[in-house]
Amino acid sequence: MKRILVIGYGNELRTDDGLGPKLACAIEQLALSDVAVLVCHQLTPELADPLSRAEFAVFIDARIGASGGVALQPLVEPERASFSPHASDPAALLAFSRAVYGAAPRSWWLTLPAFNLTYGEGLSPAAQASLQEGLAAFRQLRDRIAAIPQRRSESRARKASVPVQAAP
Amino acid sequence: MERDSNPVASMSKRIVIDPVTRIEGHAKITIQLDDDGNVADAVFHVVEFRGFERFCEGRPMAEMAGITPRICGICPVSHLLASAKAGDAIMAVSIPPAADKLRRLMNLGQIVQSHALSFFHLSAPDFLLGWDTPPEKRNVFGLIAADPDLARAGIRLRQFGQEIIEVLGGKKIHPAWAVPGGVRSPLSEAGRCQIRGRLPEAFKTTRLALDLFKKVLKKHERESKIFGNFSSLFMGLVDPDGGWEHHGGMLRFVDSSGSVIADQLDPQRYDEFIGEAVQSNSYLKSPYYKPLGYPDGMYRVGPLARLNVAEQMGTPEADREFKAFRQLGNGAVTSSFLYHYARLIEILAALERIERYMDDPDMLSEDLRADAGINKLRGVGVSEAPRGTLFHDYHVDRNGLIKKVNLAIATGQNNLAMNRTVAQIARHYLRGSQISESMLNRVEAGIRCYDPCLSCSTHAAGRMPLHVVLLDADGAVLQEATRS
Repeated sequence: MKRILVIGYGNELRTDDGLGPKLACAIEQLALSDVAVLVCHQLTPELADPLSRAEFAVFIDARIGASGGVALQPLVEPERASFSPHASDPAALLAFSRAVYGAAPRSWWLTLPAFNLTYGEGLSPAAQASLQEGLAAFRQLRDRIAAIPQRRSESRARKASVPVQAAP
Repeated sequence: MERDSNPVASMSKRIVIDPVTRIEGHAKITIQLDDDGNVADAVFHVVEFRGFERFCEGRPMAEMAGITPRICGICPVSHLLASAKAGDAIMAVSIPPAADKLRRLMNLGQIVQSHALSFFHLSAPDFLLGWDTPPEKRNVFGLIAADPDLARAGIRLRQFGQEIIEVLGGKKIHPAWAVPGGVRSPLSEAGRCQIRGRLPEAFKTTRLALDLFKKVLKKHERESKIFGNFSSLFMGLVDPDGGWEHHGGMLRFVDSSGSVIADQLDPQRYDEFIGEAVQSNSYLKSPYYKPLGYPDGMYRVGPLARLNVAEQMGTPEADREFKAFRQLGNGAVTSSFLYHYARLIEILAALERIERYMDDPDMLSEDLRADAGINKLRGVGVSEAPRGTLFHDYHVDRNGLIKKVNLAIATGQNNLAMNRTVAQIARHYLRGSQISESMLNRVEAGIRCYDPCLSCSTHAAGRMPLHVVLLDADGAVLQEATRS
């Protein structure tokens, strides 16, 4: 598993809601040796598996409300975990990952302002510009992560999958 | 707070559960009590609207397989396949056998992933952890804490179903793969190896879940008797031998005694025997069997119905489970609680059929498309979505532009039955003004038996805050409950 997991999510048929997948694809094109990329429509429980194996994660999504530009914030797992398969947020998914697999990566949430959420493919011109800003923000974050000493894999407390047995 | 305008119920109380939790989409349940505090009526209604049937007008028919899956992020495959079949009908083509098998393989993957989600994430917390477990623990996290291996196995089972979809269609959600006339690509050799490799674990998890459910069924005899246990019709597709069918075949109706009352009905002519009533307080339509009228023509669809209309599952292990399952009914199995059991048997049947397809050379065939123009001005595509029979009905002009769309969704067809289920459960548990959390959850759990997807049923999406209020006849608040 590569050190950094990027998860870009959103609906590519709702114009700027496709920012998450599009930025993730742009990162994938960079072919960075320490970065794995997943692109999806929405966050689902199955993402807990690859998340639990990553040392760092970056979630990328569009943000409703066009003000403020590209934003990068560290994610904090909620104290009280909840997760819906239909609509969830990255912090809840991290909590889910820890509950199921005993591990969750240090994570950030990179959000890009959405200017147009009507039905359609492609991005608005303003969103195209924020896509480039988002790419630059990711590169800077990746450089910061690269300076963090790598943890030894055996120090990671991930619960391994065990053979399924009947509950008592 | 509105006072009911019905003169009979003018002095009665109303309990509202809004929204129902752990279902796909959002809904409200209204329970009407009479002066004595007994349940007079119950309605499950949806208050969101999205309008797919209208904004598709004017679009090219060929686009519908790309548009309609966006109705829902949980069951897009079902819409994809039904839409493609509607296109096949408009083109008046028979698609190549390999394309039909590949579409079936994708539908089987969809059944596995959707049923696994329903069982492990949405429903199992109730009957495995106990109805009276505190709500903050009666969820998938509670399940993880109680039995982490089972929880992980359930996640991986759903993941397996999604992997089949992704291997075929290129992505797990909204794959642009089935098209009018066939499919875009075959199964790759690498994909076949991947699926084969995951099958043993999937079988193991499913067998474990079946064993577990049969054990808990003994503890939930009461729920089995009152969670939607009533006479109704059941409808589903069957194959030419009357066997379990998930993607082709003809329609069959049976009654609660298991007697076939209508058989070999052409899905293309569904509107000749299925009517749709509109409720004033909901965007969820109420289909009914026309010969019996509304509302007597109520019927159920989905796993319970499919196992009632079928005479066999067609694969050995599922057939053994099917025989045991049918012993639970007198003719047909009528308890909606047993939808959960039927779902697990369908997962097993799906896995057995997926396993067979892995040895079928047609899976790798490149003969996948039939080409034609617009040859009919109307086409109906029917497929068994995990939740039940799904109809896509398109009318087009000579250029293939959509003039009219009707989508008859699985969950909508269960609407009348869900109303009746809520009323039945409420009659057993609601007394006066004492509302317990576990009682409310039993009413919601009755709805969850049907695994409704309300995003599909109203083609809707959105979130609603939860606020449950019980008022007395004068409008004073007796009790309030909030779920965030």
